[in-house]
Amino acid sequence: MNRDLQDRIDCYILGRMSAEERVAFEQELSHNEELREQFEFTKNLKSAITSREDKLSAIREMQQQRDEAENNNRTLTLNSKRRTKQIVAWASAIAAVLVVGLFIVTPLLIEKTGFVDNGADVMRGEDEMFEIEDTVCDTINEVDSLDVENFEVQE
Amino acid sequence: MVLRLGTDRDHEASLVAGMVAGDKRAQYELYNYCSEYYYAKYRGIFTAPEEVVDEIFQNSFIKLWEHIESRRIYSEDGVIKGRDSQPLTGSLRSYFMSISRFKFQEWNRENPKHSDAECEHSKKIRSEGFDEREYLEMVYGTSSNVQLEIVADIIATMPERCYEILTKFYYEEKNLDRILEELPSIESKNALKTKKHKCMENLRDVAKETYSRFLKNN
Repeated sequence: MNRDLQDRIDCYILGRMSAEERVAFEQELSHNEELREQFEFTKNLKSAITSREDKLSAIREMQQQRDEAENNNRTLTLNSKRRTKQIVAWASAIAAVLVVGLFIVTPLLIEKTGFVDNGADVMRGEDEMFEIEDTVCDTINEVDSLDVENFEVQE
Repeated sequence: MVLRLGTDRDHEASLVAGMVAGDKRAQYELYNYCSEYYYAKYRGIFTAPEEVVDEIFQNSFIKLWEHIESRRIYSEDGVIKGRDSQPLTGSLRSYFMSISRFKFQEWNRENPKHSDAECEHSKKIRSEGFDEREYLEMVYGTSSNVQLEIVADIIATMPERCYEILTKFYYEEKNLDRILEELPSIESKNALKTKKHKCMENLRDVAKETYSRFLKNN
């Protein structure tokens, strides 16, 4: 590769020649095959590097966008998990209060409604049952006291 | 998350159309679309160190993008077409993975010690050999400027220092004095100039050799 030619080609391609120099160079290009071949190669090199660098720059931006989107998704997922944990914690606390409350309040409710614990089984409606029992016993006693043998049917 | 419109084929055609139109949203969606598929499927095709896997994806995506820009593949009436204006036989994702497979083959040839003996693709390459014709056809195919495509491929794998110097010179359009300030490890302007020329000479030799192989196979 001719280095002198290369320096002139670089000046032309990078727009560092005067108008007259450019005209002279273009004329030389038309009849110097070695210059023309080296010029085509340098032109292709500049195009290839420009294309690649433009695309690499775009790819870096796109990758940055992707990374930001992934970070946002990760943050949303973390926030969502944190919220779920908070909800579970509150629900557990409320459930615990209800369970504890049940064991405290229920005995108080029992006292108010007259349930008495004699150590025997406490049944719902026990008072009414005792009333019925008393009535039945009274009736039985009345029947027992009747003089059946001397009972006369009055016509 | 990739928004899907209609069938996969419709979606792919709309992405290609968007890329041609320079739509940044389409670029982002296509990038995601290829990335999701690639990282889910590449292990069925090849194994390589993680940084190489990422590099292959990046180079493959750039190659796909260049194919779309040069109309090697394009969208027409909701169909993706390729060579000879025929619809692609497979999906865009399959096309992308084909490019990745060839990019891996390039890397594998240069790094045979790292290739996984148990990987299906490495076994296939060892038993059937590297199909250069298929490779050159896939990567360069019926391109209108094969030499440009060859140079584009070579710069993707050239030594980092060379790429850095040539990028600063031809892309950032900095002069040698400015580049020398930014690369203090290079001793002098003459040394920098020599290094630049050497990089270009090596690049040109490889490009010429690749082009002659392409012509031989076609």
